[in-house]
Amino acid sequence: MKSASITAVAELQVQLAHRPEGRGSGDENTVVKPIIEKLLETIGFSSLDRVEQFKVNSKPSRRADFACRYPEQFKPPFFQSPIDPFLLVELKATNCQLSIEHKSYWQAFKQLKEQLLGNKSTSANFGLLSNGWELQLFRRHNKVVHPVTHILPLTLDNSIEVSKIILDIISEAKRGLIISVYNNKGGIGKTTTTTNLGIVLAQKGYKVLLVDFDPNQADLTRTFQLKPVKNEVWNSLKGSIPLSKVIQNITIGNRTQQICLGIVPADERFLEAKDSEIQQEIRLESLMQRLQDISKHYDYILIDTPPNWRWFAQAGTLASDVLLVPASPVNRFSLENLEDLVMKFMPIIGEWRKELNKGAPSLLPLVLNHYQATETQALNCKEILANIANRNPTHYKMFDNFFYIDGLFGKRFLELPYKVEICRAPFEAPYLPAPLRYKRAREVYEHLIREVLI
Amino acid sequence: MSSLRDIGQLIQVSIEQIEFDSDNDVPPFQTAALAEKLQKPEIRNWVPVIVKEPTPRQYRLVGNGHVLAAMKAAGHEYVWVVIVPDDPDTEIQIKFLTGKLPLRINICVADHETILAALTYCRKQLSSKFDLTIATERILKSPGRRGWKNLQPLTKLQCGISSSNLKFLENVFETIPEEIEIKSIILNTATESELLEALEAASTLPNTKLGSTCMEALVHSIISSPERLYWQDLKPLTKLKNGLTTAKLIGLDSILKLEPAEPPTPNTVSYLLNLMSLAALKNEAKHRNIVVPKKITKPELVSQLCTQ
Repeated sequence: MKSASITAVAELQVQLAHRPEGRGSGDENTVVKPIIEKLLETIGFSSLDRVEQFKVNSKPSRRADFACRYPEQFKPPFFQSPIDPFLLVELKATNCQLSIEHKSYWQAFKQLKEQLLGNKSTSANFGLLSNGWELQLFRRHNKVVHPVTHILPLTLDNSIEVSKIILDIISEAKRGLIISVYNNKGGIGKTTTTTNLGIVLAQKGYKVLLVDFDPNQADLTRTFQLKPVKNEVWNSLKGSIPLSKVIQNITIGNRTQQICLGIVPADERFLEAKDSEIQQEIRLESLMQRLQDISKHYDYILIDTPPNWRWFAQAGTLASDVLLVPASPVNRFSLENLEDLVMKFMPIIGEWRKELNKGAPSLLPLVLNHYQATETQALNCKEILANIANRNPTHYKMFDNFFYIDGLFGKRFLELPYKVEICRAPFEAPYLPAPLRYKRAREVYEHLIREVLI
Repeated sequence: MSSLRDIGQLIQVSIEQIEFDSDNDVPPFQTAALAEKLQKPEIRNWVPVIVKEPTPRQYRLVGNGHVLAAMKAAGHEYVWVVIVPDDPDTEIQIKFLTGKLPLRINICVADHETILAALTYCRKQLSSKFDLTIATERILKSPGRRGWKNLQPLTKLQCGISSSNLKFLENVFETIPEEIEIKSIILNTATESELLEALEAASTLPNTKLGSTCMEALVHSIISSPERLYWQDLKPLTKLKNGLTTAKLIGLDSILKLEPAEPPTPNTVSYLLNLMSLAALKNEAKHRNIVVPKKITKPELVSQLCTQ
């Protein structure tokens, strides 16, 4: 992997010094392209390592402005053999607002996401979006595209720093996706979703780690017939022992199928401590740091967080690349509090992650849990969610992306249908989680995985 | 804006995370002795180390470095710290509160009680015999005290404080001259109280020489002067009963402004007539049809013009 060369940085700075002050439309090629070309060189992509107008799939209109790949032994240079790109770049005009309050940001993100998910770019791990004044780096993990930087201004003064941030991120070893399962309301199936989703991912051959970060209930721990530990997780979060020493690897299943999972069990020490004591001894980002240390050993890390916006929920969401939010269509409050999640909690997490030089976690599409497709339910949900989006016109597009997924016939909810098998499984002996016992239960989560993860 | 930083919080952090300069002002034997007292494995430092957090989770020592050094020497991995804002004012406050900066009294503005208390301490420490009451009174009444730039004027108060005492006194007193704003007044028309206030304020300025002048008597003389309305400079102040010497006029021109009234017709003001030459006075007499002898002196002519 190359490091930023002084010449490349100097050339980038020359481009930035001559960047016109006025921001206009249609200047992607005249203003933005020369800047980003030089930026790509600072992170080690020479003209031999990149191509323009890379076709991401069979549709002629779906092209990435740049595709790049580092030189590899026994492979011809990328410009000669433009396959298996590593990074795709989407350029926008200088007047395109890269800010989550603007529709243009979400349109640009959608374009980049489509490119990263194109069948000719399955090797692409990263996507870069820029208008020549700001830029943001995204990571692709199977079907999920999430930001790994905040929206970084690109100036003469910070060009070296920006180049270093990007280089550091794209040089990291490939790692798993960290998902928090969160809703501020209790009793809407967070632990069930975490557990069953983790099991089905493991059934599909992925390495999965489940984190029980709800010590008050410790339900996830008990689901796997484990006992909460005492002090181990606390000490690990404090930095005294590595998290790998705390993980309990279990094998679960029946005669026909056995799966392996890593579990970070709940820790009773947290039950005995007051909130203030936890805050005094453990930094909020400790879970994030510990999980990042081990994330290269897993494909998916799922964190079961408690309801209420307190320390555990904050630390869990802070640690995440993405949030999976289940809500119940028959529980009005689990829907209404999504407004607080987007308008209050996500900006806070974004600020905290920015201080740690990380991008804000993004929201996976809302999961309507125990969904029974009655017309009344659909109408109720639609009305509540539409009201939330309409009350917040500056974030309308963000809510729109969160609440609905694109279907063949337009926007639709992501439903996790009610299956009696999912509810019945915990009461049956010998205990076996629903996806391992019932095909119908497994299919529900396979559907969810297909829609949002893989 | 929300921040991860724990400003204002008492928290436990790894000693390794705290940056500090190695030149601790606590002698090594004291650190070692303190470390001896902190040997128990689970001991908690109840006097927290004071740190700032310029960027999240990067701590820099601000105060109580001896606690940090001792906890480290005692082999502890963690230390309790309190996080303070990263700004110079806070750092100075902490240096005062932890005794790292000597607390000194600004002698330019300190009141009677404070000066007396500080001098009592100094006298005891110096084993000196200067008279506390006299020294305090003379400092308080010393004209120009508000503008002192160093403690040198103390040696001129003849109160028993000598130059050799000053080095110690500098640990107790500091001089931060007070910004003094004195409103200038019109000498020709100011009231008695305006004059008294301005002159008393002027006497505290470092560039005036009013010294031990009795202000009440001076002001009374100014007010009583019938020709004050016509004064064109400050010289008449030197000719008053209880007036000032020429040397004492220095610095007063910035406070006492002049806006003389128009001379009366006929001009019978002796102050104005005295400013005129003999020839001009003779012209004035001729103009008023006053016959004057050829060999008349200026004082005689002024006297004659004043009365006719």
